[in-house]
Amino acid sequence: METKDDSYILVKRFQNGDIPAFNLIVDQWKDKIHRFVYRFLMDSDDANEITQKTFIKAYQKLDTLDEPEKFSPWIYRVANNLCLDELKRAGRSKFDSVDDWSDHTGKTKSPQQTLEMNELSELLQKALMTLPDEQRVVVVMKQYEGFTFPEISEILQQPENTVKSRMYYGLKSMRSTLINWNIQTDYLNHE
Amino acid sequence: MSKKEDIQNRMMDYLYNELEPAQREEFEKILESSPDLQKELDELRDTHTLLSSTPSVIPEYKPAFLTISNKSDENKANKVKPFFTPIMKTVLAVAASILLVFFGSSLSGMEMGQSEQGFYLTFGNPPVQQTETGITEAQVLEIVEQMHAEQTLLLTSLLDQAQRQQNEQFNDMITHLADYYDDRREQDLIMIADGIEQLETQTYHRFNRTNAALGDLIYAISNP
Repeated sequence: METKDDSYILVKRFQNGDIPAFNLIVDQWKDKIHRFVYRFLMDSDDANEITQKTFIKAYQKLDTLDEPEKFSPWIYRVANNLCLDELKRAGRSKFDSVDDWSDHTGKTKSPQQTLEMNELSELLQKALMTLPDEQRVVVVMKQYEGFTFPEISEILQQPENTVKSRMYYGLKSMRSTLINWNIQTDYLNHE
Repeated sequence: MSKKEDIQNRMMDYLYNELEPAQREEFEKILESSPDLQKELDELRDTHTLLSSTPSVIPEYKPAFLTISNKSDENKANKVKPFFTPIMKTVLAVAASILLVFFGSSLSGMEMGQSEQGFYLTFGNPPVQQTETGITEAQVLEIVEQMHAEQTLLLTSLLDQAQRQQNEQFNDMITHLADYYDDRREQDLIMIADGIEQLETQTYHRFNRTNAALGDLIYAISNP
């Protein structure tokens, strides 16, 4: 909450001509935006580039933000739109090798080996990448960024029920993918 | 919204603890009466728990540049500034005007001086002293104040204009930089794609040659 209040003050300062206040905004938000973008695109270089573009766009357009208290959803919306643009531009070519991951994980490693935590983390990230963009962004925002459904609805400018529905199918789809890859951890073995 | 969708949405609210206590209680009753629904919820909860409990590795953020004002100052300093900025033009115009006045005055016999009525500026002889009183001191002060106010307004306007121009230049620079990165990236991708295509073609020809050689060898062995 404190962060949001701080951002409100900084945005107001920037809009009133205090240009260096933008540096404080960047300091406050860069890690969050970078984390979100990285989880969405799963590419370190792209994440750096899109994070930077997000702040360049924010610098250019912040004057048009009528409600400074809504900076948080606004900056995430900017980042999300740039991620979607990047996916469209790249034609998803760099993410088409997801099938190779399943071959790699399912056939060459035993389930026990796969249970190693670092590999599990990697597999989860890859499983996340198998989701359609509109489901993945909701799962990232909900599961990792901790937004509520109304907040995600505001960021994505989609009805709340649509957001919940995408979350539901996203979770189900991730579960199916992990089971298909023979990830039989205690977490997924609910019987 | 169908009943199924409604249940799915409420399941999400329940899973992420976004239901009011009364709604939560109501949904728990539905769960008790439906083992299938309870099983589905448990499975979703397992996936949610797995995602929450597994630490993810996020690489460090490496910006090319981020500090706007400081960097912009550096950029401004590094950039070759045009000599004829609006302020410089104004200064030059004033200097040129003063020079013109001096040249003009020397050619036309202009004289400046002070009389009892105040300063005078003439071409030729100085004005005859008149006994009538002119404008009062208060009026003069008022005029001076008015001129001062006008000059302040003019200067403020010039400074604003200069500031706007510098902001525009900076924005343009950022836009060009972003475009440059885009272009460079696209060129790299095209180059890589071309390389892969060439490699594929070469590999295809080598396979063909190998197949032909093997075919010849097999034929030679089977028909001695």
